[in-house]
Amino acid sequence: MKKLKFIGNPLLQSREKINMSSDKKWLTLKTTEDNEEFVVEESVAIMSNVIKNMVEDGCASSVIPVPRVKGNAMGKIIEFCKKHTEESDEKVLKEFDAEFLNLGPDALYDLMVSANFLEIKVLLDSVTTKVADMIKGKSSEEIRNILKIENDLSAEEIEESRRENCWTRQE
Amino acid sequence: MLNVTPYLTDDLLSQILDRLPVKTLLQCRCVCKPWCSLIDSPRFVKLHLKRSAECNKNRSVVIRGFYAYLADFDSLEDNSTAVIIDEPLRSVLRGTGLVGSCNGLLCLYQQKMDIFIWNPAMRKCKQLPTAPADFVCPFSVDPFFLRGFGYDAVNDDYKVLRILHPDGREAGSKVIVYSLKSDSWKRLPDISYPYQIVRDLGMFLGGALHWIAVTTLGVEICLIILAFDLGVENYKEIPLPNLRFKKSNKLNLCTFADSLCVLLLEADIRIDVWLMNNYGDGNSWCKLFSLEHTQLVSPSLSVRPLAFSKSRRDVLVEVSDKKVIWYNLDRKNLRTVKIANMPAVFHDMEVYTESLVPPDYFLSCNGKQPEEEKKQKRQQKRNER
Repeated sequence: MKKLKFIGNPLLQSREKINMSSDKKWLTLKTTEDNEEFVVEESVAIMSNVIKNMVEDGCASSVIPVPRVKGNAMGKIIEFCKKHTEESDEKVLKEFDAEFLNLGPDALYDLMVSANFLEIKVLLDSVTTKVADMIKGKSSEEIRNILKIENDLSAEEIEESRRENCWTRQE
Repeated sequence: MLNVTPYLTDDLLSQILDRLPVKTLLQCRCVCKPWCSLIDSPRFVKLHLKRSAECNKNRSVVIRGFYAYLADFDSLEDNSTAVIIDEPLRSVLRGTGLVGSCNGLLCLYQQKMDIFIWNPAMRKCKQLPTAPADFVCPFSVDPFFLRGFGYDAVNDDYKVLRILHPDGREAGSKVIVYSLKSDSWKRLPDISYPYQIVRDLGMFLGGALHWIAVTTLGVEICLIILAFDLGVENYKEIPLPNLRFKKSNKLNLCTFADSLCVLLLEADIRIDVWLMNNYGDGNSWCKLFSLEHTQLVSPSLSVRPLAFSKSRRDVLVEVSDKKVIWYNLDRKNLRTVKIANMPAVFHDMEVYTESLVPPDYFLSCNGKQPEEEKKQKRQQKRNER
């Protein structure tokens, strides 16, 4: 069964009403991996450079297929883009981003890969900054734990690097 | 433990890592093999350097006196502490002189080590091979020791230049250049008469080394800036500011805020600091500020502007071998920079951008240490036990 998600005015019930009523243009994005559909304002959707190019080239009349991005990631991305198109106060946006990016490494990676694929610079910058801040000033073991990275170095390599870089852990 | 890094392409991982300071990146090298090879790659090293320069981040200060000390640049605006550099580099850095500084590398000279290249952020050093026998002049004997160090963007190489003052009036100056990529010295054509360089340290800016020089064409004696392009290895004249007094002993040259900067000692009571806003354009010289006799104990050409503050309203200035100040451009006043643990007297201070550029510039394969160094380390470990 198709699920229609409306991001926008909760009072509107059908797609036809949306197309007729406002001067705002609406687009439907469909994640091809799990067939979820999202109806978004064009001004929000074009924060993605990829979608912007499709709209400008005139191939965005019906449903825009979005490969490689899963439904839940798409929902989050739209939430981010909507907030960033509506709000202009830097301070409010900063607080929103901090709360929004309060996620585990798996979710952050998903967001990063999707933002990169869809070419949403603002989101990609925010996520990469967040991940960088998570590991700044930490030791290699701490970084592995925070980002859930498998250690593929041999015991000898670990010992040698620990000896070489012991001064970097002094504060 | 699930390994999520396969999701991250090198491009995405670079975008995270190039925001980090060198210290953290050296820890990141030990996280896993893919991270290590990315951080060691020449491409990433350049990316990281570019980002640091663009965002004015990762700046640090090295203070060289009898010993060498490091301090964080951003902390100079409030409270900062100089940290002495311990062994094994402490004895190497004792009593050094400067050849040049560029992209996080400092080129120094010292009695025992002769000329060497040092990356303070990575705590790594590389000694240069001795110059060929026919270029006879150890710096300890050479009274002028004309020298310079910089990055050649054309050939992606770091170069050290040495120039021997001419023997007689008609003779030219001998020039020898070291290329880090080829790890060797080579002789270049002499700087022919009528140019004569009058200051010892070459200033690196935008791919060229600069000195104040005298040119005596015909009857007139003229002061100019002589620029040596490290890429194409040729010379160019750049005009000095159009000033009334142009005696060579009243002028000094340095680089500041990515521009050529001339210091003019006016009537022994004031130092004027001039900045060339458009490189090469003689009409773009502009006076940035002046330091009066009353503000300094005694104005001398050792006054040197080092860097702008974050707000660009203050200039960090080295005023003597004992003092460094912040000069405020709006209020035209100065305040002493307080650095705890500073040596009482120092040679000079350099502001540099921390980088991952290795002193041997990727000569050894895969960024691993060359065999002789590995053997030395094993021997050291055995001796320690």
